[in-house]
Amino acid sequence: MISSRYSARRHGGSLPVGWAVVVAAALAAAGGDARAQKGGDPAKGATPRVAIERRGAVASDASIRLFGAFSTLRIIGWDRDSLVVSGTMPKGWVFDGGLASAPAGLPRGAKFFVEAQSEGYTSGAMLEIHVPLRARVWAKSGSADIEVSGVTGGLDLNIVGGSVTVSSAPRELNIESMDGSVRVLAGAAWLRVKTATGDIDVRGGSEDAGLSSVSGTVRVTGGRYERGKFETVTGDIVYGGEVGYKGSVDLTTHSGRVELRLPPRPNVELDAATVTGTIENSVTSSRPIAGREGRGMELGFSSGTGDTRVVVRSFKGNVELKPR
Amino acid sequence: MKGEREHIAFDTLNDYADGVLDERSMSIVSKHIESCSVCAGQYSVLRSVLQSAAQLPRTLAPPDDIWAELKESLDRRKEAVLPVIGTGHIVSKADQRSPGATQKRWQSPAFLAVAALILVIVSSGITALMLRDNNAQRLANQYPSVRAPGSAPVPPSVLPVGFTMAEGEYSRAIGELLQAVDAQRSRLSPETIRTVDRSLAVIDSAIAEARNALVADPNNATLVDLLSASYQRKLDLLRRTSELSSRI
Repeated sequence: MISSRYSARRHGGSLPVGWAVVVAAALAAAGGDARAQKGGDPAKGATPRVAIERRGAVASDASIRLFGAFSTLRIIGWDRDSLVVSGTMPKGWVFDGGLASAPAGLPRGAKFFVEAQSEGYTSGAMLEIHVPLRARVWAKSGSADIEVSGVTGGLDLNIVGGSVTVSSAPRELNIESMDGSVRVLAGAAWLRVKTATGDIDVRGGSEDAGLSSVSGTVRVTGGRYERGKFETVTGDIVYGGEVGYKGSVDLTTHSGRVELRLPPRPNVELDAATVTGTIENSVTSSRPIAGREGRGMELGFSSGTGDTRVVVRSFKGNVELKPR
Repeated sequence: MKGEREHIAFDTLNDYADGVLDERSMSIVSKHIESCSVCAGQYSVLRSVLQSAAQLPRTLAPPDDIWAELKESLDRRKEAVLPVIGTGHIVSKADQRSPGATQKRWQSPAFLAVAALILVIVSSGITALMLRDNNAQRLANQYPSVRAPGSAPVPPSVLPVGFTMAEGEYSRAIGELLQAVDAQRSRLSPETIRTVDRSLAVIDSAIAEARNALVADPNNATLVDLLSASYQRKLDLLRRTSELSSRI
């Protein structure tokens, strides 16, 4: 029974999963789909793949969950109250799930998973999912490339390796990755990104942003940020965004380089300190002073109206203030 | 916040512990914690950190003769010669002041704010010094100094008492998460294990460096912030790793 196998993977109790979708999974023979062949293991020759297609009506703000062994996933928000999942996967693998049953009206949730049934493939399922614009999408995989466009609701994306690229501006965006890189091109009202070694590149601004990485680079190069907390251990931090009125941005690193790009006449109250590193200021006339006990450096100034606040903390990473 | 079928995000648990979530979110988190031992465990750790912090003394009167020594130390620092980056010039603080600034500085709100800040820092320093004296032997036994490979031995010293308690909680939470991660290593791919281990080593190295520096300079608030941030990164990485095998 598919639903019982599905609920065994979840945390907590089960959710009734109804089969309200039209299942039109067409089996395709080996060589039938050029795109499918791309994911096969060359060592095994032409790997048979099968096509996947499921579709159904859902509420405009439906929660959609997708997890398992997919290697590429394109999430596309569209102006329709319906859901379409299509793609291919190696023959013999399992794609399952469905829409949550709704007591009245359109289903408000859908869950799908891909289960690998054999080893040795260089790529798993390659999926494309169309969802209502305001949907909330939750997707998790091992190594995968995820691309998102058009979704303005919520996104919760988790990968180990690969990459995530979000080109729309969702209301809530949470991305977690180990060594996969993350690119957020249009910002999000609420934004959280965490990686271990993957680089983080964010543009577009946010009301509340939290970006952290162990050794990846955190780069914020555009948009307005009302409240931001950007942290690394050894990764560099580059901040070139604007800070909203009365907003604050904290940049913290242990040994990464911090590059703060400010406009020529910034309206900012800056508080920067590095324990053993250096601070260079090429934006204002303020000069850094020696830190505690003559080690490291500190720099503090209020420029213009001083109605925004930037705090920089570093253990041994050097800090540079550069003109934007 | 994640749905109730998933673990509660660590940030959300923090907000829940601080009581700053809205009523609906509080209810969702509360229900989840009742049925989830993992989240209940994390919440318990957060609560104990808050309780430990609440038990710290609010104030501690300094000895009468300590101000003279501190004032002398502060006066010495005012005369420090400061380097200017990029030009190679050496400029004193006095050279950077405009002529009118000296006359007005006592009436300046900024100056008063700085004076208040110095007072707070001095007060905190005194508190830490006194507490350190009282607890030095116990804490030294509890948390022996960490030394980075190849570095010189640090002189015997201790961390600020407030941070020592927080570090104890960090260590306990990290220990629990490490157990969870170790128990499921066999279910993670070798590449994932390598990435996690490499990142943990990077964080541990940063923790050791910052901790050594804090032992040598226990009143440095910047070091407390940096060390806390590194511990937080480690907790976060372990939490995420512990959740990996359950979903992949």
